[in-house]
Amino acid sequence: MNKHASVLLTVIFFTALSASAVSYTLQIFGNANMDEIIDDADISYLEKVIKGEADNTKFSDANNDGTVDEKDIDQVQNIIDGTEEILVVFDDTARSVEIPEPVKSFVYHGHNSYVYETVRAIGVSDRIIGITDRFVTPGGNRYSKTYFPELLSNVESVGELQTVNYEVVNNLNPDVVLTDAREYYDHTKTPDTPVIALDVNITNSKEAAMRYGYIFGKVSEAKEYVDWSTEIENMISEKIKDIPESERPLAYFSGYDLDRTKFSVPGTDSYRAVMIKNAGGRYMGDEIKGTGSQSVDAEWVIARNPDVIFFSAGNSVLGYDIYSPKNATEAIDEFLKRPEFADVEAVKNKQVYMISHPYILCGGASGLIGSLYYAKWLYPDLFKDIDVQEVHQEFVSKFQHLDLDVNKCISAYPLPE
Amino acid sequence: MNLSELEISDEEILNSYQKYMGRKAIFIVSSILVLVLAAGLAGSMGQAKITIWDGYAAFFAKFFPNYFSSSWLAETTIWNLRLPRIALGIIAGIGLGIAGCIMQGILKNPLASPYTLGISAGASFGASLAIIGGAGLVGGDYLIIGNAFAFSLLVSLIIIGFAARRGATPETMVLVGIAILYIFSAATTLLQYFGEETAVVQAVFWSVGSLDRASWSKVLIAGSVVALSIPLLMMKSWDMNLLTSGDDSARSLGVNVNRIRIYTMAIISLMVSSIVCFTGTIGFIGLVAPHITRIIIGTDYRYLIPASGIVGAILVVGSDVISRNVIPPIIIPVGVITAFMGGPLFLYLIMKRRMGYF
Amino acid sequence: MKLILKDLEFGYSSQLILKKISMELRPSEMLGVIGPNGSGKSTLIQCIDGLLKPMNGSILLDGTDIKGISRKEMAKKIGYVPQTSSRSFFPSTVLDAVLMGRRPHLGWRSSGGDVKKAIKVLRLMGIENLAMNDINQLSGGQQQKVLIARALAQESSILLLDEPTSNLDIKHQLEVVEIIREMVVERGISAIMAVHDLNLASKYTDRIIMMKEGRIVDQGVPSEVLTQENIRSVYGVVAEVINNNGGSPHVIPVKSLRHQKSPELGNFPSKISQKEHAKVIA
Repeated sequence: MNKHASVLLTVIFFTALSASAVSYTLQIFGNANMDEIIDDADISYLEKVIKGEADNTKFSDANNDGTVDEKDIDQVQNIIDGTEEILVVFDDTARSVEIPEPVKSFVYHGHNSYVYETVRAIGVSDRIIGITDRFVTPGGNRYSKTYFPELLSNVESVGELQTVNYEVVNNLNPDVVLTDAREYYDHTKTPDTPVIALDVNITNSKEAAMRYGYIFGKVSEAKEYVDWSTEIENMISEKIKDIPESERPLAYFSGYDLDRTKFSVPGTDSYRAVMIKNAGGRYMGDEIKGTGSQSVDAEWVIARNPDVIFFSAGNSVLGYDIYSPKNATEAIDEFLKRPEFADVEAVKNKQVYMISHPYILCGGASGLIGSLYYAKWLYPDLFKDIDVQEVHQEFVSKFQHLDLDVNKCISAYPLPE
Repeated sequence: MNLSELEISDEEILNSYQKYMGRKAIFIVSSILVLVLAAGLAGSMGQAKITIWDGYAAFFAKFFPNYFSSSWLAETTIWNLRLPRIALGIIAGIGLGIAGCIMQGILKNPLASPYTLGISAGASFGASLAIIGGAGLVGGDYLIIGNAFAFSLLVSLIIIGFAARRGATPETMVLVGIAILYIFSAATTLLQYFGEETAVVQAVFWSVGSLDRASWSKVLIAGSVVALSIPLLMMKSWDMNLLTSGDDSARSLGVNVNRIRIYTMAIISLMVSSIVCFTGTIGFIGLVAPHITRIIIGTDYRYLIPASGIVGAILVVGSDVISRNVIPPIIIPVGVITAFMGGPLFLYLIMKRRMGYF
Repeated sequence: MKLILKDLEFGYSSQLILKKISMELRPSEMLGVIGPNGSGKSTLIQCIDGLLKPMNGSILLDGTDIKGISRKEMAKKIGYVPQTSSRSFFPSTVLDAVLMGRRPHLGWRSSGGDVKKAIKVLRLMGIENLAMNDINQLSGGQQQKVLIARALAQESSILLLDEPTSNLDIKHQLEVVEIIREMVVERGISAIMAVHDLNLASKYTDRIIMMKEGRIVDQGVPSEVLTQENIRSVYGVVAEVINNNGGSPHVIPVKSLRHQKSPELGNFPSKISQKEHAKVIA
């Protein structure tokens, strides 16, 4: 039992500016000083570069024409004013992609909700005209009338993830294609459309959000979203920062359904592990390197004796469409009754929780909401004053623009007090 | 001697024979026509918002720009999306059909296919190694393709090497082929078991036969290899006819049986590897096309080889049409279609005992 | 074309099948090879055509060792007619099957001339009206004629025939050996024919080689070789030999020597151990 009730940290809310988060470089040409935004500081820096007083940087050549000159300063000014005609963006395939601005329509080729949530958070969900099949075809694993209602009308399917139907994309003729599964998208097949590979994950979510903000001309909206996320992140890390490693609860994570005997544990660098570590948990499975999962059996789990167990659950158990905890209760009870696990700390103290895989693991402000739930479960006293549901609701209403009542459905169980 | 028997002159026999040969030639010519029609059909079907005339205009505009004009959508649809697929499909169908035909003859086995020499197992392993392990023999863009090619060739060369040393009997080659297949399949499974999830999915997906990754450069490469291989194989078609009368008879008629087996296997391996590295494993074509062809024009390899190729190409192009148009916008990988079509087709052939000699 | 065999030996690791065979085939000669089952007749013929590689000894074709002759050259010089079992053939027209015999002379493709030659050979064998039939539809005798036609189409100067009459009725037996005899006499080719039927060998061959257990036990003209003593010692059979028919002897089998240990069994490597053997005898 590692909840360190005697160590109380002062709850301090920081406003985002002096963020303790790791700083990033905005990957857009024009960001000459390689910081997080494009502003007058970049113009000053460019002037120095032109005079030879400062080093040329990767993003100094704002218009990507091969030279750093006055035209680049003009371009940066245009970007600041929001009037640029093209925007040169550096993407995940290490290409410099030129995007004609403004971007009024886009196709999203991808498998993960992080990207879509991000663009929805900055307010451009009305510009999407095509998306991967799994979001719009009933039975697809991202299909949801409650979470993605706007996709179900007027947004065309562009085929499966691995077999994009380029003919449909060409028909739609979007201003830009966004992909987070670049190994499955051949940009030469849609030669008239700029294709940007930009995945959003737990480590790059802020820079990616800002980049998307610039692409869509929604910089201030992006900033608002990033600031909000940073605030919550900082709040969590402040609270847990003084808890020594040895006193952090050992948390075990895997998928679960009834009668499972083999468990798949994600590697220590996978986002699922990172979410738990961000929440102050000690990750059980640190020895599993990388982002892949390893299949383990019950013995492995029992031998390590976790303090807390988090299970991810599918759409039939938890989610925005689930209004009864019946299936979740059944699953957890069944697990708690299994004799081989009876001596495990987490089972003895009934510290077994379930969380929605598609909405909170594969979504939820790029893992932030999930971390919040974890934090609350791991340190209920420490986070007593934080109403997780409220933050969750804020995300869903304010940043996802959805008319969804988080309290009515069950996406995490049992709810933290 | 039956006195009422007609006297048949040499000329009459010659004429009969020439007519008989003529029928085979006619079949080949007409199947080429069918292939052209099938390609035209495949080229005009799809989800792009263009009419059939737009499509043909775009096609001809490339050659006669003064007479035809086309929209950018039609041009990119036809020349960038559909034609590379169809071209690669035709090349694959020809290569696999011919390879299957010759393998069945050389190994005297009706179940022989282009993949009997473990080419598919080698390619999957090479691709998995590149995708999951990030390791390979050729770097850069062509990492996956290069690896798949290299390992599939390696596998078949091992088998051929064995055969060259231990005697190139059909039994030896099939048995060694199976052994190598198991080894490489196990290695692939190992990679996939420990690999990172998205990489494993990608690796598994790669090995399903598909034309989605077609591009003109790939068409050029695969097409060149197939085009070079065909005359090299056709040169031996008469010898392959002789092989059908038995190894000893063939030898007594002047055929170096061991050498011919190894020679044809080597060329087939090269040809099939160069296809598989771009398309993954498109199954059943190499198995079924020769059988269908054999039923229609018999077992003279001078005609059977090219005809199997054309029939194979027709099957692949037909599968491509289905794969892209049956549940749009979903594109079903062509390897899935050929398996669904090939399986029942093969069963039908077995039931009707329409497998020629076998 | 003169064929000479010197001290030829062939066998597998467990046993020798041909033991020091020396013989020759003269031009324009029909040579019969006779002997009981297992005496090595087929093996000898396959060695001569280079289908089996002897361990020792040499085979000289017009003075050249056949080891140095390519398969293609061999095919131009020697034609081989294998035994027809009741196996089925690969489907093919009769004409195509015979055309295969032209292979040693073909370049890239067959010419009209080759087809005409194939048709002529069919006519020679009397089966030209079957030219376009599938070979599997023919009777055993007709199939045998097709195989001979194929060998003849090779236009080689030596013909090897491995029991060409085994599965045939009387009429076809006689037709086949008569046609071969004609080829030998009229075209000057030589032929080696392994046969079971001693009388066919007697009547149609110029010389006979009699084999037993991989050795040549006698060779010469039929009347010299087909004697009662030879037949008894080689075949384990009592026979009467009648010396009429214009010089070629006629053999009439009388009875087998079942109850006496047959000479050839005595030396055949038995798998039964001495002990077991003694038990049985006792």
